[in-house]
Amino acid sequence: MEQVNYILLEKMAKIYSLGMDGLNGSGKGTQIELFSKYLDSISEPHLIARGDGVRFGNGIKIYDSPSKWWSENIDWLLDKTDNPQDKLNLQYQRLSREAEALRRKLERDFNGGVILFDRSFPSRVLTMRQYNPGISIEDSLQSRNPRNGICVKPIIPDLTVVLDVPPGNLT
Amino acid sequence: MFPQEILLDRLPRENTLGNIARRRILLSNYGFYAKLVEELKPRTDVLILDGTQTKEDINEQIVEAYSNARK
Repeated sequence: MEQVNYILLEKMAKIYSLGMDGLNGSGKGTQIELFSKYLDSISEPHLIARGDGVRFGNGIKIYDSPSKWWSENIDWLLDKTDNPQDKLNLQYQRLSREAEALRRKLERDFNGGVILFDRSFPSRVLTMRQYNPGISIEDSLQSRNPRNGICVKPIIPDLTVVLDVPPGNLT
Repeated sequence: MFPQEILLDRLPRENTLGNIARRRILLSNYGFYAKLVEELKPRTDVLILDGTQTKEDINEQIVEAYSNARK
């Protein structure tokens, strides 16, 4: 099997990444907003991104900066009646490239900072297991672009925060 | 093995919409997520928080973990 380097956000001393994970309604967005305010209060440059799943590219959600590509492809991506795993890989590839771009932006503009991810690789593993329950973690983190065959590195934050909430308490 | 895992193993492997929906429900069950993250720990620092606390208490713990990590 092809070896994959699982460190996307290279351990550069001045860039720190934090992923917020949990079930829908567990409060990820609320905590990202609160933590973003904290980072503002200490004047720490930071950017917020989607680390797994899709986004609409309409600028409404805190992690969803306006994007022509996402707004044009979101309906097609959400239609999982054909080639669902190819679409999952394609959207993951896109998010991975966007994360890398944000890292470069923080380095270039601020010489450091923090990237906050709404979801990251735990969500990726769970999603892949919905389609292939027996898939290993390593295999589920591999993402190959169905169009060009290129395999990208998954988004693995320095710190992953999981909000563990019983289903009855989800909002 | 968690009951969810046993049930997952028993589901047909065909990716019909119904099977995918059933897997999603099982994977969303309380406890499975936390167990998965335990498997992921070697790859990242993991902070599992009781999400039933107040949002302020949760935020405080995240800030503390972040501050410690950046020292």
